[in-house]
Order: sequence, then C-alpha cells, then structure tokens
Amino acid sequence: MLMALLSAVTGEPLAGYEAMQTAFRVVFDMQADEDGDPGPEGVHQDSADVTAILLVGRDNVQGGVNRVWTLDQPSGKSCDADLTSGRLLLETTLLHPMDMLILCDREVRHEVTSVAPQDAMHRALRDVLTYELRRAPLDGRGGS
Amino acid sequence: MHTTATATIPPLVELLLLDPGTHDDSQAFRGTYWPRTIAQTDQNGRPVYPHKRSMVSYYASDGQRTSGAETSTEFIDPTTEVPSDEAWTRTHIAWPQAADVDANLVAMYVHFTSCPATWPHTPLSHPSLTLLQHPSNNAACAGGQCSWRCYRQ
Repeated sequence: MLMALLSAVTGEPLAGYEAMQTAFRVVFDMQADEDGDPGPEGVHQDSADVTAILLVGRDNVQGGVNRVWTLDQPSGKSCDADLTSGRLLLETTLLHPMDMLILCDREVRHEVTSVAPQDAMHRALRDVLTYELRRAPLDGRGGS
Repeated sequence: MHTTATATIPPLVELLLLDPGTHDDSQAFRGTYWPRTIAQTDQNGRPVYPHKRSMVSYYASDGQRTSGAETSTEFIDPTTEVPSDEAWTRTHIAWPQAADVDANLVAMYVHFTSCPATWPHTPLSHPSLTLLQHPSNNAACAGGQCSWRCYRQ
C-alpha cells in the first residue's frame, strides 16, 4: 500500500531508504512523580538524513519548545548562554495537532525543552509522531 | 526572522490529510496508539527515560516493516549523551501490525517523504529547516483555499 502511494505522489519512491516511525508520549504528573522532560538527552542528532517531528496533541502543557542548533553546538543540555551564542537557528513551539518541523539532520542538531502542566492539579501530556528517514542498513533491523 | 513560502502538496496527500473527516478523527487516532507507548529499555532491560514513552517500527521504502512485530532496536546517534553504563542500542515496543496499513499514518509518511523533494529551497535563508502548520490551525487558510503553510528559517 505504501509503495503504491509513494509512487503515486513522488513518481520515484525513495529506494534504499528506511523510515523509523516513533510515537512519543511525555507525561508530567506531579502526583505520580513524572517529570515531563521530552528531551532528556538534550541537544543531539538522529543519525538520519531527514527528521520530521509532528505534533499529535498537547493536553494541559506549557513548554516543549523545539530548538534547532548549528552543528558546533555541544551535545547535551543547552544553557542560557547558548541561546545568545549565535548557534541557535530556530526556537519554535508546535502548538496545534499536525504542526510539523522537518530537519535536515546531517546539517543541524536539535532538542526540545521540558514541559510542565498549565494546571498543576492535572497531568500534562505531549504526544508526538516522528519520522527519521535514513539510508537503510545493510544488515537489517533487530527486534522480535 | 522568517521568510515564508506556500508549499504545493500532492493531491493524494491533501485528500488524506485535509479531508474534514480524517482530521476530525485525529483524537481517535491518537487514542488508538499513544496510550500503548512505554519506556524504552537498555541492554539490561532497565527503563532509560521513564517519563518519555515510545513505540518504534522501521519501514523500507516499499512500505514493508523491517523490524520485529513485538520490539524494535534503535542505534543511538553518537551525538546523544548517555550515561557510561548504557549501551548504544535501545529496545522499544513495536507499533501494532494494524498501524502498517493505517490510512492516517500512511498519509503522514507519504507527506513526509514527499516534502523534501517537492518543495523549492530558494529563496529561503536556511535550507535545513521547514516548519509546517496544518491549514485548519491557520486563519489565513480559512475559506477553503487550503494549502500547507511552509515557514523556513
């Protein structure tokens, strides 16, 4: 099915490429001691050619800001000084379902900031769908 | 800071993504899959990011799943900081088989894979980024003249 759709849309499916499809759910729940950090790894790359980050939904959320950096931004959590370093290319928040950020992953690094509940009495949820498109490994994928 | 351009979306993707019925189903779509997410684990079966739950599958360009029915293995990019005792691989729960033919997911995959080749990069100031807003969230698209808005840094 997917092959047929790809052919219909592009005329030339991306032969030799593989897509990693991920659903992420980040939870901030004070009563359950859930901390709501959607990017605990900090600034990073995905080993992909193209990365797409698509918002599926936000419930009772503040924060969750996507930042895109130049390649010379150090890995890990960024600090306030980094924000004025000239290495920050984009800072934006995906607010509405279907908002999507697409990155050329080999050319930039990215991170997302912590989320917190707007109403502290209820849990916060941030649901995201990501696609990472890369040349397929020759030895296949693991899993069971 | 931003320059803007309007993207042209293939009709098939418009049909799947912009159909009102499809969009209205987004909450049901969300409720079908996202509650299944669980924490990824390291080589010892320990949760890595307990509050960042995930579900992963890999697909070839012919649409065939290339990872397992129950779990998937992710190889972590070396730019990701990890504690020294963690492996560079992670195990995620896999998407259910029904997701492989879910029209919403297929439409999003097609949209994503078709975008980089479809949209011009000039005269935009930075070709590495694209930010899209769904037209139903964009007042400028009211009145039925919908197209995705493409903002490039």
